[in-house]
Amino acid sequence: MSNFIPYNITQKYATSVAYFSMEFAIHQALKLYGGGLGFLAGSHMRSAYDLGQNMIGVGILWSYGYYDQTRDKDRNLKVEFRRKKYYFLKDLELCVDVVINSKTLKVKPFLLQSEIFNTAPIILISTDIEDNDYLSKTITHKLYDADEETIIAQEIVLGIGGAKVLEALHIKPKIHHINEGHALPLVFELYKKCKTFDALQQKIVFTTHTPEAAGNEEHSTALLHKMGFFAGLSID
Amino acid sequence: MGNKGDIFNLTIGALKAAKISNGVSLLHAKVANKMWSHVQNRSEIIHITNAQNRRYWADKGVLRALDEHEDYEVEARKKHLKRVLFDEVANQTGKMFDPNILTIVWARRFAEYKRPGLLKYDLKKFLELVENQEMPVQIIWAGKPYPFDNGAINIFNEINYISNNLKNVAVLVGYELSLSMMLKKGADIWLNTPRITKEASGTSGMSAAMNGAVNLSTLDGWHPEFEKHGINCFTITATDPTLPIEEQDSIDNANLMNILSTEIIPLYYENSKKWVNIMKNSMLDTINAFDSDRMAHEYYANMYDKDS
Repeated sequence: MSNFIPYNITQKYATSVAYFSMEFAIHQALKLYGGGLGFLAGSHMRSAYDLGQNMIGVGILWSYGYYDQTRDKDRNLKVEFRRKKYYFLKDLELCVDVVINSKTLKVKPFLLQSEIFNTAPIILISTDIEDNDYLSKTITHKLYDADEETIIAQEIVLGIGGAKVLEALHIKPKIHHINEGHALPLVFELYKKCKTFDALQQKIVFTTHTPEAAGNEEHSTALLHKMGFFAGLSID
Repeated sequence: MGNKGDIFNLTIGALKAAKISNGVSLLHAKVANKMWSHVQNRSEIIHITNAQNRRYWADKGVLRALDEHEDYEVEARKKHLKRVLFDEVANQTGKMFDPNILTIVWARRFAEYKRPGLLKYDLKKFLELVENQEMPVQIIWAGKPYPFDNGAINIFNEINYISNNLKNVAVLVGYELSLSMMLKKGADIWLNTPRITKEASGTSGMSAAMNGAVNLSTLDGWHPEFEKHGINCFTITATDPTLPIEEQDSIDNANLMNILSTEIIPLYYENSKKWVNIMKNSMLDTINAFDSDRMAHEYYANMYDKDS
């Protein structure tokens, strides 16, 4: 991780941590958030920098962000999806393969360097690249897509894609912090490399944000399995 | 793991996979422990209350004035920050707001449970509030509904429609970090109205308070950990969360309007010394306790480095 962290790490924050989040609200110029979950992650990444913590963020580079909120001719709300371009992100010049719905696609990481906005470094992954077909590209188009299967695919990209990108970059965090349940497929990917369930648990901490039973995301187990959410592990 | 027959719940899966989990406020951790009490072999759910980065969010001018105990400068700086916000209001809506007038802001994600329309639940009372000439108010709404949630979009458009005939009520679009910053810096009252137990934490009130915006909130999320009514904020008395939601909304609206008309508005216009004190207390009680440096430290001490 030290390759990506240009600041001095404070001794009491030496444990290496990868922080997985669907949203990051870092700066007006980087539109990767819908609301409070992102504001929280953004402030966390700023404080990680301020305190010298051995932390790296992992998120998704949303091609269209959440949406642009404007007005129509009668001044009512208008939702616009406008492609974003970010010339300040660093191309990490590698791709990893992720299997979604029995199809192999490419996931590519970019880096928000620590110095740009004074945050922990953040790896932002995208499927919206030349090597993928159109359907695969759309997975990282819109934060919280309206389609259930696209949302599941987004979670697989963040969790499994994120884990594989870290591995390809030779980053081995001691702790994986999953900020809300979206990145859960990460757990199944990591389990393949753990000897025991206990060894897996030692690597995972989880923050829940939803106080309403109905607000907690649920899907058909069979659908998740078919999509590859469990990283190819058997259902039980 | 998150398996309940043929339905898989992501939260349950994560609670089982983790060595330790947390809720994002004291109240939320209690609610979460109760909600998931039936789940076997899950990790403990501790609480680490959310926070916001002071260096990013707090206005340096108002912080310095606070540090120097210079109350006149706290007031003057707030008026300046209001004027900056009101340029944006005029730019978007053609309405010219006045920095001397009490300004109430409701700004965050436009989700139903957050009740963006609670202030205008009783439309007659709302119009009395905004048409009062002796002790006037200005009100600003902003926030993004989920783009495919027509219910939430309708609430936004309805409030926007009401604002068309009111020169002191504005609805802004483009609620992103920049606008959020302007609103938090320029607000006198930061209104927060979730139905009790529905808001895990909420953080907009923290960054608003760091800028001397005074919270007026239901007793949910982070608010109970902070609130001292009439000292550092104002609190809408708790309503029984088991009541039907129409009843909760009606009671909360009555309490909200009552606090505004009998406490907040007279105080703002008749006792500026006390008002500045509340502003200062709201800053003092957030700049450390709800700075994300505290939170980022707690994640290391209580989660990452914790043996389990």
